[in-house]
Amino acid sequence: MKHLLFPLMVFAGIFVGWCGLMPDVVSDSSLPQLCLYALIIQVGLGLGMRPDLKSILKSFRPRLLLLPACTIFGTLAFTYIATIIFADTSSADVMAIGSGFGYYTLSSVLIAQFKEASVGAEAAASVAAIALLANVVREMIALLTCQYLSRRGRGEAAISVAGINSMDVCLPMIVGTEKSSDAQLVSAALVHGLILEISVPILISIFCA
Amino acid sequence: MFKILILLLASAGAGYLLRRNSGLRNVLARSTSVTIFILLFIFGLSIGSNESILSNIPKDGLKAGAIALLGVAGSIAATTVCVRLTRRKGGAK
Repeated sequence: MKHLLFPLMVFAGIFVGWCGLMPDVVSDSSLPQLCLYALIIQVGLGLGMRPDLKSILKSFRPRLLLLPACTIFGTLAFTYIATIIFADTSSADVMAIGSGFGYYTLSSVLIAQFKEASVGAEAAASVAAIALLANVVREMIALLTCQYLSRRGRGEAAISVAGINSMDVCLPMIVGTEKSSDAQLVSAALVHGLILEISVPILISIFCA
Repeated sequence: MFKILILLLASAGAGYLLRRNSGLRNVLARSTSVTIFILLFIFGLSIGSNESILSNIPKDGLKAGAIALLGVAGSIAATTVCVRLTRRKGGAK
């Protein structure tokens, strides 16, 4: 239900903006900025309060860092190709869009806020709109392919494709298949999601600087 | 970047200390959604009030699809190479 409300809020905003009913309070950049800091604090609190945080940290092995590193490196290396195909988009923008790893809510609002100061609200909203669409598509691809990859014994690839969603939405599809060694895969998926959740704001702030 | 990182880590630390407070956890789940709703609504407003962004949506959709597919392909490629290398190394021991 919540996942349906997220795009609905974007469409509601688009409709209100299109009708020219933009409230003055929104034109003032301090409200979105405050909301953004509030969101970062809540994401952090949510991470710290996860009931399974202790077990994730206990199951942590340095080797588990390889998988998020592969996801970050592979995603950024391949999304860089998009700068060759779409010459009108800067490489930093493309990398910022790719750095969402399927976290479409946070990545789009972060890009909109971070880029506003340097390129203005219009250009920032344009890049953020592409980020929203790209990361929604990534989540959809993950939902459609994770189970298939995992069933074929490619659990690591399934985790990597899921991106940030490896620790929540896609987790039931990654584990619980006959060919998966579940315990190891659950640890890998949770650590992967946790590392990516921390890296999304960091990478986006680097590419939007 | 450092402001975001410090905020994230400090609040994660605070969250860990407050982890037994189930009431706060319930409030947090709702308040995070509400904050995201507000930000997405504001984001939608900035798209809707801008003609050029609206007219570019078909082109931007293509760009978004390509970036998503490339990201997925890159993730699979890097993971496949890494898994093969580590399994080979493990097998050689």
